[in-house]
Amino acid sequence: MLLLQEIKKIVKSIPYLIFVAAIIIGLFSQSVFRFGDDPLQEPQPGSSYGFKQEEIAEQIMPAALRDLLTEFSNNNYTTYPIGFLKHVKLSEGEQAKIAEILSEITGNNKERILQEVAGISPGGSDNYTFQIGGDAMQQDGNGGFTIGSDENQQNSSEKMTFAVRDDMDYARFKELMGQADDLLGGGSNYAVDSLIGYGTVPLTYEEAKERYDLAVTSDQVTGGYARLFSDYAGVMVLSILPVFLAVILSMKDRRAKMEALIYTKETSAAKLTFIRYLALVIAAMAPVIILSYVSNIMVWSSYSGMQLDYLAPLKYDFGWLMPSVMISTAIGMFLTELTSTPIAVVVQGFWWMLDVNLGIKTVHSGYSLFRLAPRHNVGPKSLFRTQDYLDHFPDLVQNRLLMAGIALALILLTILIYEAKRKGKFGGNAFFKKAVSGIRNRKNQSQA
Amino acid sequence: MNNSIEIKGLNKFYGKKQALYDVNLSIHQGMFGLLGRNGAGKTTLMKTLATLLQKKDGEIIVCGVPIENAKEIRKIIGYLPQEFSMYPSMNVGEAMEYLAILSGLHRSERKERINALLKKVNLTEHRDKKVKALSGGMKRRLGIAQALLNNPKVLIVDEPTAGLDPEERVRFRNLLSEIAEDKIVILSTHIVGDIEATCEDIAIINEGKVIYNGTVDDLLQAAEGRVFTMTVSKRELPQLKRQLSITSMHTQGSKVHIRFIADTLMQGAKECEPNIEDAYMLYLHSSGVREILGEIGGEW
Repeated sequence: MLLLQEIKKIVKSIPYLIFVAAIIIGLFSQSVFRFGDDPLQEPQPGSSYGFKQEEIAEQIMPAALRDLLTEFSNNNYTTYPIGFLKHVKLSEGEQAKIAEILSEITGNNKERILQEVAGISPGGSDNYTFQIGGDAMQQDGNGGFTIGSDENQQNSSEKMTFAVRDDMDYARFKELMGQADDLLGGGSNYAVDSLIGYGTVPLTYEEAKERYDLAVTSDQVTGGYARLFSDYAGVMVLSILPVFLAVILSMKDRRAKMEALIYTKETSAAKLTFIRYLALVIAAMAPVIILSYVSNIMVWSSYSGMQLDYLAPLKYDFGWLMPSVMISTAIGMFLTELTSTPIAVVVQGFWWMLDVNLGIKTVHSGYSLFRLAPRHNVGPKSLFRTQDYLDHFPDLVQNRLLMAGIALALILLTILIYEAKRKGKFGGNAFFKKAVSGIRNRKNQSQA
Repeated sequence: MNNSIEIKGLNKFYGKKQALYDVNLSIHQGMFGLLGRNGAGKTTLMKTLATLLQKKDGEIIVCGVPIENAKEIRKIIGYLPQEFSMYPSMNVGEAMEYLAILSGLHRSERKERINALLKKVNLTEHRDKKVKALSGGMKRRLGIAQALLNNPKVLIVDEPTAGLDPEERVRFRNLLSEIAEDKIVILSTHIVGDIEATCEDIAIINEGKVIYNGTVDDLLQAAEGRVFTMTVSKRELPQLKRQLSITSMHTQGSKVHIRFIADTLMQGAKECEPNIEDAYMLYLHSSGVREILGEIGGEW
């Protein structure tokens, strides 16, 4: 009964209507209600089936070398150290170290590289040419590299030629690239984990067919769409918006001057806090469940005659999205109870921004342990990449269990804080104000 | 279960500042008035009884239950704080329903209890009115109704009549008197009229110390022979104000009729029957509270 009252209290409030509107707008902007425009198509022999990334040393080494050389010549490196784009400019000493790396990879003289490529001394930057790789390599139209051409690039005799040395060991190459990444402060494409991005090869028909079959059998089609919905819903709305609801509801008693009336009632802190938490999670999940079905139902008619998983949206709503709602709500309740301020919005907002930006490089497959919103932004055109998802499923389970676990731990702490405040043992923001003024006084005294 | 509140050697600190000093009180069924100036420690004592504050030391037993057992205490008390409100968007019925659930009332008894209480506080016809649309008096009555939801043995009411108009104040006092027929009702106030109209037993608290604990009759008796009236000219008044503890003044043309406290009869003065205001003033006066007269204001 209390649960019903708490849910009623939330859903009848203006912030909740704003919350629902924000979810609809956020998801609409990601076209989740137009999944039907993009049907899953069985690959047919003779067409293009897309690309995949593979660790092919012969492809990765020249491509990475080319990028490093270009950035070195401009002394303008692009990195994503904490997810945010950063342009790095190196000192002369650091450039010399990059030149040393380039020298070891290409066999060219380090001093000459510095002078003629980086333009540190007169000589200009046009005095070199770049050879993509061995005899059989060329750049393809998609920005990747493919093997299969017999053409060689012409080198002018007076210019330096940059090509990966024939005897370059791939392990050593990765080590050198790792050193370059360290010099750049991390987060570059040369990081050992990121080098695979230079290895792009086209899918074969057999591979594409295998992907398609997996999407039909394992995902039963609707699972792929539900996963894509969860990817957008998790990152765009449910990792951040529930914190607003939690903060507003947690501050409601205080703002309504109702704290003392509630504190002296019989209901325990544990029951009240947990039921309020449950009410918030239910209220936040309700529109998501409805919208996930609205999005999913729209594609059902395109697959008549196929075995579809009609419960797929529900499975992803609870398994994928609910832990994000749980953690976001728990942070809101915990920090609001602790400080009696809306600081949780800032904290959660910061984590969310960091998560979104850190995830830029892993948007197609981001399942690391501390991800607020896991990523698997792969639609039907890429045949949902179900195998990738299945490969990372244990990581996803760990991540989601961890988030749900942290959320429940925070709620336990919230209960303890609530009970302490209820008995006048802890004053919330009064405690923090006192602590801050104490620090200020000490600072003033030391300055005096 | 014993139907009284026993407070022994109660001390309460806010940080290093002591708010209550060795408070000893025995409160029995009926209306008990806690009288004192603003900031005297009344609210601290009330909040401690309502389990909202922790005591430093001493003992409090509420109807046989030690105050440390907050869970049990909450079952037997009803509390109306000095400043309170309810979710403004809820109507009276919804607010009562919500608080009844928090009070642990089962569905079967909730409806009946809420109806009875709204009738008791004369709010039945305002059941569908939003809390934000209630007048100050109605809100206080709703406050009393919610405090009675669990049919408590003890009702703690902190400054309930402050800011109410005279009619609403009288109505409120009568309501409390009615409730006190079968409960302990502790009424904290700085308005002497509230005590006079409702309480038999009172305590006067000043600067955290109980300076009087007994019946209203005993308080009045102690003031007998020490309250006088006199008619003086307006010209004499400033000097008399410095010399005497004047409790009231009435101007009649160029003359002023004063009522004052003194140890002995002055020339031209007449002894009169003390009222509770005089007795309260006398206690504060004898406790060294000189500035009280300037604080009486319009509420006396």
